[in-house]
Amino acid sequence: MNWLEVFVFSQKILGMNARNLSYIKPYNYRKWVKLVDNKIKFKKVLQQNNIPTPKLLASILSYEKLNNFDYNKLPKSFVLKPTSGFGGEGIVVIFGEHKKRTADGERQWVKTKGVKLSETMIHNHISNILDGTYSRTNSPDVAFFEERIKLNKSFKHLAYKGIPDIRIIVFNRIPVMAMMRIPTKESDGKANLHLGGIGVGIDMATGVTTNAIMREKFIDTIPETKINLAGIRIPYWNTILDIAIRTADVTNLGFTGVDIAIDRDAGPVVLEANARPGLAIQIANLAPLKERLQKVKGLKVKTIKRAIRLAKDLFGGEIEEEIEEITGRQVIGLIEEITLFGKDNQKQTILAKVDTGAGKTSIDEKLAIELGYNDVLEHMKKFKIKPVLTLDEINELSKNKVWQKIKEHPDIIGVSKVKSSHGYSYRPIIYIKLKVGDEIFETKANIIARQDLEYPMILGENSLKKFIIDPRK
Amino acid sequence: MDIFFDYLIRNDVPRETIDILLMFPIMAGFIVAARQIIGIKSFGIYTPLIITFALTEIGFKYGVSIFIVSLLVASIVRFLLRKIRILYLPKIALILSITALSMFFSLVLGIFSDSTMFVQASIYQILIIITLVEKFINAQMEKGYRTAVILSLETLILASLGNLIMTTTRLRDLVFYNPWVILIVFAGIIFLGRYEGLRLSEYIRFRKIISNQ
Repeated sequence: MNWLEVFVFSQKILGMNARNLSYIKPYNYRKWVKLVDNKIKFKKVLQQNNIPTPKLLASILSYEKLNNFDYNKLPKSFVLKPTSGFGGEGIVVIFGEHKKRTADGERQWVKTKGVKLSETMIHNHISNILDGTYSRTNSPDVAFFEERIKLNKSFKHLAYKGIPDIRIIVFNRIPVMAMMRIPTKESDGKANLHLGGIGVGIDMATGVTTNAIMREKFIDTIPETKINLAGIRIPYWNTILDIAIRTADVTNLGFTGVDIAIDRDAGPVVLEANARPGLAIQIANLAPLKERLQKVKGLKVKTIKRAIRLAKDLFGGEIEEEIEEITGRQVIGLIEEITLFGKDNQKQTILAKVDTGAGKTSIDEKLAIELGYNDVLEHMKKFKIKPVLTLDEINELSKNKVWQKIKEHPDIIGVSKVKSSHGYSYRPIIYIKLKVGDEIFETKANIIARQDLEYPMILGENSLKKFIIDPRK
Repeated sequence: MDIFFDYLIRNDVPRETIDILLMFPIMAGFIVAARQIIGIKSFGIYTPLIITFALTEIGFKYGVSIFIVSLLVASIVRFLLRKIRILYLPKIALILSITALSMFFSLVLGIFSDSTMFVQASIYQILIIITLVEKFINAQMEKGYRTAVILSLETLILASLGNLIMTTTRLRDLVFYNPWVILIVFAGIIFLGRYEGLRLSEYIRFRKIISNQ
């Protein structure tokens, strides 16, 4: 590459000058920048618009409020933040409560690295926040407590303490670039890159990670654990894109970085929106951002669905679509985000495990109840069948034609004998309607007790005929 | 213009004062160029500017010594204070005061090394350099020690180069006799204010993206 080619290509990269002059100034009006900088206010706006975000537990506006604050109100785990903080500064993450109180009878909590914090210490930290130590302009600030996000199971092995989050740059309603940020030991459990967090580029079409950087240098694995950083599939990818666009909409900012974390129970939740997103995301993705911004500038995008489609088509890998075009079958991964339709057609989105080794699809009892099949389980209870049976006991049940009686329930279409490592079990089969990829269909599913398992549903062979499975996806 | 400057000088306004006022836009333009084209961040525009002028006044060698000594003292004091839980402003007050007091030690060193220029330097110039400590500690808290040191080094580089420009007698004379060149500097600053290209430092920062192409 000669210097002229370097210069020409460099025009596609977004630098500080162009970011400030051509994107922040004309697209992010001051008034709206102020809104996202005030985390409490913005949280309320998110809630008003039904965008999921961690709950606000308490806010401390003044010294008077601080001195009268009742620490008994605090739960066992929480996060303490400055309202106008930036770059993760001043945030304290509390993982749990210490069993013992201090000598003075104060409650004690535990933060990262097992460091203990007493009520007095939290009090001091809040007074530092109120003093403005962590605010952008060092002007007096407000502190607030919010619900701590619980680590999603599929990220469990990735993060040192803290929670990985996903930064999505949205411009003109279209998500243009994404990056996962993983807290490390060095970053003290915070996901911010300049504190030493890891940034991992994400393919916009599939939500699969590509390259990773730490302190702007390329890495293949997490330094401490040697876990591979490429090829990780971000769960709920479609939902994440959807939430990112809706968040960008309520910020009124044309050019914004939306930070989304995945809670174990609530799924994707918005942490915050940023009016001055950093530029390192380009390095993590090995892709220039300015080129992407120019591509979507001026496009009129009416619906969120269309915005997602555009993001995937313009900025995602192309391989999958080619396969889909040739075979007419969709490509899905080993863990797939699917939508289930309950008995009253209510929708529920979950992560299901794709298992070609399993003959039949199965769903967890709890999930079945949520879908409205409570009476199926009630019906089963009448027969007082033990959860684990021996082969003889199963044969006994078959001989007595118990299945005929079970099938009397209108929703039950059959009974299956399931063999597991513990023994056998006798489970009802129902029809269930679901949406995998773009396909909506009905499939037979066993109801089993899977509460100890990671995924509430297994897609077995009988449900996979229309798909091609790509383990990397 | 000549008549105006003559009038000032006849009425005891030092030439130095006129020079500094005239050189101000040039130094400001220089710092803007360093930021927008090269990517040297430093601490905003005021800090490198004022330190440049202080450096020129005290003399480069002693100015830089005070710069480094005050940052070292401030770092040590901050390190010693880290275990004590006190609020931000009182903490900065302590750090700044101790840094200021450490100048007595520097003055004694100056006496021993017979450097009259340092010993007789205006205390205000020294204090100006010390106020950098607040910016430094602030950056340390907000962006970490590494960034704070880098920003300070950048300030030092800018101030050193600025000092070089300030002490170029030819340039001083040029502006003194042709003050209209300041208009060219203004045009340059406006151009830089609309410059959208990558900074030189960003070519390095994003080199992997470029080489990946």
